[in-house]
Amino acid sequence: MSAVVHAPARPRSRLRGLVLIAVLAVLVIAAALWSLSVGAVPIPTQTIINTLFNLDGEQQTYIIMKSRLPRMVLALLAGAALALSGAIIQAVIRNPLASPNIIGINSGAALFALVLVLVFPDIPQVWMPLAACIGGLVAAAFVMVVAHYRNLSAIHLALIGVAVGFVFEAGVDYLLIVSNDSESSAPMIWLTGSLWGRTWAHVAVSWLPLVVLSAVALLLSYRLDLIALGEATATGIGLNVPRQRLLLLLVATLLASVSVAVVGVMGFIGLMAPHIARRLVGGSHRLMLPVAALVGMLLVVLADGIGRAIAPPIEVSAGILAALIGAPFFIYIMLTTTSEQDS
Amino acid sequence: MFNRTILATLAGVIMLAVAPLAQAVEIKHDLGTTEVPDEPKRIVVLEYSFVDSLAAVGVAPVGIADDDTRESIVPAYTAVIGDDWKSVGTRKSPSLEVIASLQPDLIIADTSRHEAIYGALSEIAPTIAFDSLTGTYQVALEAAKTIAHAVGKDAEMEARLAEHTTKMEGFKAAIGDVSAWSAQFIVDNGEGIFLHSPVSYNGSLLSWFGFKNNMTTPDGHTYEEAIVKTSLEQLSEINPQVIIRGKYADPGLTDSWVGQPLYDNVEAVKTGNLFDVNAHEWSRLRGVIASEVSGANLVEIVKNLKK
Repeated sequence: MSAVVHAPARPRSRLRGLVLIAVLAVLVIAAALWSLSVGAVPIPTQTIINTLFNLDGEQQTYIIMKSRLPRMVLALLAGAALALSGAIIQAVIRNPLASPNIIGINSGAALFALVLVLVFPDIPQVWMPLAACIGGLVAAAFVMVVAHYRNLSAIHLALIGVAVGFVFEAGVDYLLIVSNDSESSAPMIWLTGSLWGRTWAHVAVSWLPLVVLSAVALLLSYRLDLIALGEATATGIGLNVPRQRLLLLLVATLLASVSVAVVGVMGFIGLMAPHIARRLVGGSHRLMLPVAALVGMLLVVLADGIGRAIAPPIEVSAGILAALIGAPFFIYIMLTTTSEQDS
Repeated sequence: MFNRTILATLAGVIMLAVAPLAQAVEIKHDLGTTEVPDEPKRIVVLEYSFVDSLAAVGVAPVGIADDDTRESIVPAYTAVIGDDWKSVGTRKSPSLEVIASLQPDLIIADTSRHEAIYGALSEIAPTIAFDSLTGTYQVALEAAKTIAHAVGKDAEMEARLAEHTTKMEGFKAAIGDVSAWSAQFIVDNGEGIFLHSPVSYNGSLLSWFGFKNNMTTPDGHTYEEAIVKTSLEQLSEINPQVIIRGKYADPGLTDSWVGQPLYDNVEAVKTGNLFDVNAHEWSRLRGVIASEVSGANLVEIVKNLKK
C-alpha cells in the first residue's frame, strides 16, 4: 500500500510538477494535431489547416471536421476520464492494482451492451452506449452499496468488486459463446475499445458529463491525499471516510461508465495512466491527478491515430493499441519504481 | 373568378410541392425513408449483394467494401462494373474516411452490420439499408428492385428480372422434382461448421428449387437463426440426404471427421451425396446474378445425385 503514500510535495518538486504539466500539455496538443493528419485518406497539412480555419483553397470538410475532429475530442475526453477514474479508484481502494475494472464497471458495461445487441436485436443500436453506461453503474453501484452498507474496508470492497466483475465477465463470455454473431460488428469492435464511426453526436451526449466530472475529480483531489494517509489517520483528522469514499467512487464510476459508453472497453488506460503519473510527479494527488489526465489523453489520442495509420483502410482498435504500446512502457516503469520503493 | 384564384393558388402549391420531388426519389428502406438524388452517379456499396444488384442493371459503384480483397468481386461482376472502383475496407468496419473521400451521392448499407454507423454514413451521403446478411432470396430480389429504383434503372431491372425468372425456371425444370430430397448448405471454415437454415438466403433458395430442409425453421431472422453453428452430433441429428458444402479451409473440419461413425453415417456422406461448391460464391454472394450461379451449380449437383 506504500505505493500511494508519499511525502507532501516540496516547493521545488511543485515547480517541477508544473513544468511537467506544461510539457505534457504540449505533447498532448502535438499528438492531437498529428492524429488529425493520419488516416485512410492522406491529406496534406495545408488542406488540414485550410479546413480547420476555413481558409481559401482545398478543404476536406467531412474527413477533418466530421470524422477526425470528433474522434480526437472523444479520445481526449475519454483518455482523461479513464485516467482520473483509475487514479481515484486506486487511491480510494488503496491498491495499486485497482482500475475501473476492479469495481466491475467495464464488465458490467460490456454485458449490458451485448445483451442489448444480441438478446434484443430489435432495439436500435443507438441505445448501446446508454445500456453500457447503465451496466457500468449497476455493477459499481452494487459493489459500493454493499461495501458502504456493511461498512467494509478497502480491501473487502476491492474483493467484492473483483467477484462482481467475474460474474459480469462470465455473462459476457456466455453470450459470446452461445452466439456466433461475429458478423454484426458493432458490439465486437466496441468490446475492444474503438473510436471507429464516432461522430459529433457522441461528443454531444458525453462532453458535458465528462468535463463536469473531471473538474469535480480534480477539485476532490485533496481528499484523496487525506484518505491516502490511511483510514484511521483520515478519520482522526475529522474526515468521514466511508462517505468520502462513496462520493469519490461515485465520481470515478460515472467517469468510467460514460467513457466506456462512448469509446467502448479500454480497460488498460485506467490502470496505466495513474501509475505513469505517479512515477512522474509522485503521489500527491493534487499534482498527480492532472498529470494522469494528460497521460490518459496522450495515450488514447496516440492509440487512435496509430490504429488508423497502421493498415489503412482497416482500423486497429485504439484499446488494442493502447495495451500493445502501453504495456511494455508500463512494465518498464513498474520495474524501476519497485526498486525505488524497496530501498 | 374567386374559384379561379383558388385553383391557381392550388396549382401553385402543388407545383411547389412536386418540384423538389422531380429532383429526388424517396426510398423506403430498413432504416427509414431517404431522399436519394435523381440517378445517383457515385455509389458506394457495403455488401456484396448490392454489387450484384448494381451489376444486374449495368451500374458501376465507385467504392465497394470488398474485405480488402479485390478478388472477392468475382469476374461475373467485374465483367459489368469494371475495375475502376476503390476498396473502402471491410464490410464489418468500412473506412468512413475512404467512403467520404469518394464523395458519393448514394451509400447502400446492410441493415444489421451498419446500423450502428447509419448516422455517420448519412452525414456523408444519403444512405439506404437492406437486409443482405440475414435476408432470404426473396428479400434479396426485393432489395435489388428497390436499389434499381433508387438509381433510376427500373426498366432495366424489370427486364433483367424477367430474364432471371426464365433462367431460374429453366434450372428448376432441369432439376425436376426434388421434394423427396432434404438438402443442406453448410460452410466449413476449418474450425466450425455453419448450417444455413431455412430462413437464410441459401436455405430459402434451396426451398425455392423444391428441396426439403430437415432443420427446424426458426421464428425470427437474426444472424444466429439464419447461420447456425452446428456440432457433429447436431449434423447427424439433422441428417440431410444432400449436403452442399462450402469450404473456406482445406482440409476442413468435416474432413477430419471422416472415419468417425457419427459422420460416416450421415445420410449424405453415406450415400456419397456430399458436393463441394465455391464457399465465397455461395455463402457471401447474394442476389440476381449470384442465385443464377447457384442455380447452375444445383443443376450439376442433381445430375450427379446418387439415388
